[in-house]
Amino acid sequence: MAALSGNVQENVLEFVQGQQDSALQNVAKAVFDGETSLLQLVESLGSSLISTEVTTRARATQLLAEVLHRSPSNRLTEKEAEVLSAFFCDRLLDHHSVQPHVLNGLLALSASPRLPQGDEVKIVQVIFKEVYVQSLVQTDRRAVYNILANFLDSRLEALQTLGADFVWGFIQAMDGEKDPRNLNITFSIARITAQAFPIGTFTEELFEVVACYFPIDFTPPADDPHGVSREDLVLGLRQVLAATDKFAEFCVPMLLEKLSSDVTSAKLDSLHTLAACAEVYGAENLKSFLDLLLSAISREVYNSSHQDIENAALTGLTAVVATLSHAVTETGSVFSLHHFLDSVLKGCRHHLCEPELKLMWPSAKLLQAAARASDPACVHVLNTVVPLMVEQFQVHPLPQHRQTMLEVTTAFIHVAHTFTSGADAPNPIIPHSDNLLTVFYSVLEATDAGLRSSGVGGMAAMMGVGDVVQGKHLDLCAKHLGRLVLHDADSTVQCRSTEALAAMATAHPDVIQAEVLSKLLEVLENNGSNAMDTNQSEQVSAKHVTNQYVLNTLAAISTHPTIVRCTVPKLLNHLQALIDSSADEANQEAIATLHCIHGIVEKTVIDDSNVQYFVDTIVQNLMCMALAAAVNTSDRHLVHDTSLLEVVANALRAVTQRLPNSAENSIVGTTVQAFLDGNMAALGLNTSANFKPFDVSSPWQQTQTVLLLSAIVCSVAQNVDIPSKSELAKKLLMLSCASDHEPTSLAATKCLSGIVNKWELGQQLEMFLQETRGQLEEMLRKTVDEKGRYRAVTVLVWLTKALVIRGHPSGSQFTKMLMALFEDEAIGRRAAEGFHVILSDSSDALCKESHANIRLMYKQRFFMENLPALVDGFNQADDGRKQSFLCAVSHLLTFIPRQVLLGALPPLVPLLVQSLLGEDPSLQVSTLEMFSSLVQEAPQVISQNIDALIPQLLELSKNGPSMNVRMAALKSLGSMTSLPHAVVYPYRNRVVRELAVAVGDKKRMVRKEAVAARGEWFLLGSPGGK
Amino acid sequence: MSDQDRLQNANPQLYGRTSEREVTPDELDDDVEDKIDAREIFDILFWLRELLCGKYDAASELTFLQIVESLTPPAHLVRSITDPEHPLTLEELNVIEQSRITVDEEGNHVSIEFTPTIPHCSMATLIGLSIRVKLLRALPTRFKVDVHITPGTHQSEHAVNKQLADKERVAAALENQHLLEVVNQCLSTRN
Repeated sequence: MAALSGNVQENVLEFVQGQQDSALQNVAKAVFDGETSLLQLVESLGSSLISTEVTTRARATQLLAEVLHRSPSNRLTEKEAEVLSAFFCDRLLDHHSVQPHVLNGLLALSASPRLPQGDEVKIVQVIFKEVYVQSLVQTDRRAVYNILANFLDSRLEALQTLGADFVWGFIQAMDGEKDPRNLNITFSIARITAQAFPIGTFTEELFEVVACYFPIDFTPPADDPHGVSREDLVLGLRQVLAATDKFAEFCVPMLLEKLSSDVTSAKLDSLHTLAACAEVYGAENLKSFLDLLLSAISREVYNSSHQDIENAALTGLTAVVATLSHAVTETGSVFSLHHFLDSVLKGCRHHLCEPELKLMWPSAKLLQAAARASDPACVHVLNTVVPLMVEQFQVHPLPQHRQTMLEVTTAFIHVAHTFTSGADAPNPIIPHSDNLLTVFYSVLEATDAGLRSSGVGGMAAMMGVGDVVQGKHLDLCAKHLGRLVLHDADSTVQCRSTEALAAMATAHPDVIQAEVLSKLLEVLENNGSNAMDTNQSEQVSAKHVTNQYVLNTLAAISTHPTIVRCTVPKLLNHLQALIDSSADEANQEAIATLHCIHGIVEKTVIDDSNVQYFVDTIVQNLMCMALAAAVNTSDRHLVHDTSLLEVVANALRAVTQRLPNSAENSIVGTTVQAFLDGNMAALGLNTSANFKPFDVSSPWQQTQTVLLLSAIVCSVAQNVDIPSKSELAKKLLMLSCASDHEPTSLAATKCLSGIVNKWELGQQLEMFLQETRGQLEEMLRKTVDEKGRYRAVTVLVWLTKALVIRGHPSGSQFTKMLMALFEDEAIGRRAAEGFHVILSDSSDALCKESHANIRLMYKQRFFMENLPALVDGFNQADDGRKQSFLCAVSHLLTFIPRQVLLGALPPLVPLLVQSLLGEDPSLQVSTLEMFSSLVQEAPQVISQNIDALIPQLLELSKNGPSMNVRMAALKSLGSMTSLPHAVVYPYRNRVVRELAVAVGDKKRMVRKEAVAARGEWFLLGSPGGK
Repeated sequence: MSDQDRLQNANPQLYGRTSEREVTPDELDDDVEDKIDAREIFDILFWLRELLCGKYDAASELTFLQIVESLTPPAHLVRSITDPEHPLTLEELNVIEQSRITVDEEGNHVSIEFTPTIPHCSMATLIGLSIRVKLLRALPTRFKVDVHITPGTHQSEHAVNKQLADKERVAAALENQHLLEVVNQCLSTRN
């Protein structure tokens, strides 16, 4: 065997004799690169390893162990591993200062797949025999645990031959461990030990050695250097306790004891652990503790002082009942389950008969938790509870009590939701459905609205459970609900009935169609087309049944394709009739009808079969209707109304967004053709009229139809080719810059931005952008016409948005151009407001649903790119011109994510405080709201600026220009009491004194905020306060 | 033993709750002046922390000092109940009712009657005092506030009313740090 090369030899000496830690790197590298073999290294270390000097032996062993850790484990040959393992095992007997390094070496070996079979047993045995684990330092103890964990992971079967010896050895090794980092490892070893070894006689010892940590009481240091969280430990320990049913006899009494403590976290942990253990422990083991468990759990639920504890207690109960239910299926004995459920019922029964008292609800919750556990449990509980509730319902005459009973009963029905109903196992609620429905029907005529509403809630719950409501009950339910919708005067009852009908419509469209739909449509027809507010047919329906209401109800219940196909044509007819009537009042109703159509589309377009249907009916009809009206400018026409046209556009957009590709191409083609060439025949419209929507001189009724063009062209997927794109874009640009009709110009601008956003990169786009920029610059510079400049700014803003959100390189040029306008007296403010448009999510042409090209995190990027320039601009601008910059900064801040904001914040706060001096209420409100949230998220930043902030806020709370500003200022003030005491306390008396003005504000809502804020400040530094 | 075991009335009778006040269009109009009314006072007091009348006290003549002594440690009697479905407030225990509040906006006068849950409720003075202090902090200074027990609902009605009406005794009571602490706890808003 060749000797070590000189260099390596030198390094070895340096490390061992010279105590130079840096030499280790070189040795390790030589071994890693294969320059030196491990055995060679051992050989050269030979004399040092057996030196009489303890320090030399320790150093040599350390070197060997470290090199082992640093060399790839699969490089180790079996032979080497065997030699090293024998060597290390032997060395464990050595001096205590050598031992840690030996353990470190063994740790490296334990991870090696080449370690010969059988050696792991030897290693473990010698460790258990020779090492007093708890006398070692933390890292060495961890090495021991990691060795065990490694072997358990890879060589479990071999270790199992050790049997109980391993268990005992491990118990001794971990007994007294205190370091949370180590506990994490020992818990997982303990879990495997409990599951894979015969713990037999050592069960109690093993349990004690881990259970002494329960409940985990550990708070990681603030900077958390080790990454061990309390939750890790809690879960680790819980898994050990839930590892085997042998722990049951020790664990359950312990949990019961901890449950009786006053510490919230101990209670919570006990209950969660109970839930985790119950199933593993099994019914047999839980049997003797059932009464104690039940009383402990009931106590927590009845005296609930903490929502989490209550939930945990209920979950625990569910777990226990579930465990007992398993025993039923396993052994066929239902005795213990029923016995237990009976004692739950016995405890709760009398509370269920006292709806006026507080404990009714917790009792019901306990029973529901038990019922939720399993099908048989649910059957048993419902068989007792439902008849009881029905009986008690008859006994209690007061509506308020009856309502409570109904709500509780409904909650029980909701529990039954979780169980399926099949032919072999009917849903537990089925035997009671007749009785329950009868009770619910009986209150539908009650005078108390709350009671009626609860009845409806109960029916809805029944219908939610599989096929429980069937046959005549279906018709009956539909009839009742239909009647309530039309005749009940209480808005909650109406609302809940509509919801119930909507749910029913999804499952039983035929019933709804037969029982409800016709009645609603009848009302719509009878009411006449101009009966939006008044109602002539009083005898059929109550006052609230305006057409608007019927329309909303129709929209709500149109959930199923069958019903949609029935309602949509009726609605379109209704719309046509309204338009034909051309009465003044018809306008509002036409808009409502369109909203209703839009609502139906939004809700049901997910169903692909509906899409084509919508194209054929809604798109076709509405488009023709709108264009026909547009060319007919001689008469006054309903469809000329811009707000109505916008709703039409929304409906069209909702359909187009969901179109499959093939259909998109054709519809885009025909639409563009119609708008560019005036070829309306393509859309199926037979008219000879002149349609020139892009011509600025055309009447506004025509030009504003670009709204519809935008709805179609800007809503299709990015890969759909838009014909004559350049021409279209140029015409749109012209229209947006030149049209005096504001809606037209805005619609054209948005349409243009939608096209630019999806325009594929290339020459065409570049040319268009370049020309546009020139054109806009010219307009902004030369035009004396104020309106013309306004329009140019709007176009610039929207184009910037289109480019910025797709991350186009020209985006920054456009942004610069926009910012250059900030100091312009006339349009500076408008340009700054543009930042809001750029960053807010658009709802039409540039939204995600319209398949806009949106780059991830564009907001952050935009923020980072433009903030410095804005701050500079602010600092350099003249006093009168600063406002635009502030406004843009405020908009920027509102839209970026909090993490980014917090990083950039400190230099901005003084700027923001200054912005409160401005005169724009909406800007003030958004800045104030930001301050409120910053108090929580960045208290130190706010604290630093408190001297400037508080006087400013007090001023606004008294003399803010609008109630919203005053309210926002008061909210900010109130939230500031959570800042460090030393920061805010000096202001206490001043704030309390000055808020005396705000509590006498003339607006009630301001007074409410003032009372809350002043109360908080009063409590500052006061005994019992903060 | 947990806190609950010390409460005498663990399963008190509940009354319905008034729904949230609806915001009217007038209230949203910056130019309209909203008058202070009984409902507003009622809503201010709604924020009072839940108080349960629990400790039996046979003494008919209560003084603030006695209450303070009976409240050691105070947290045991003033507790919050966080069940979102049924948080108990003074309203649900029918201690404060809107119909028993009168406001005279022009005369700058507010008068409130409250009803202890049981005739021997030892907390009556404390509740009255809390109401007083809350309104002191929440109303513009121009208002004069009167707080009484609903006639015929408490054993020592007269004595309590007298104490609540006596400005100097109220002020003196609030000088007592311990009592102020209890009152402040009652007044902490729910979070």
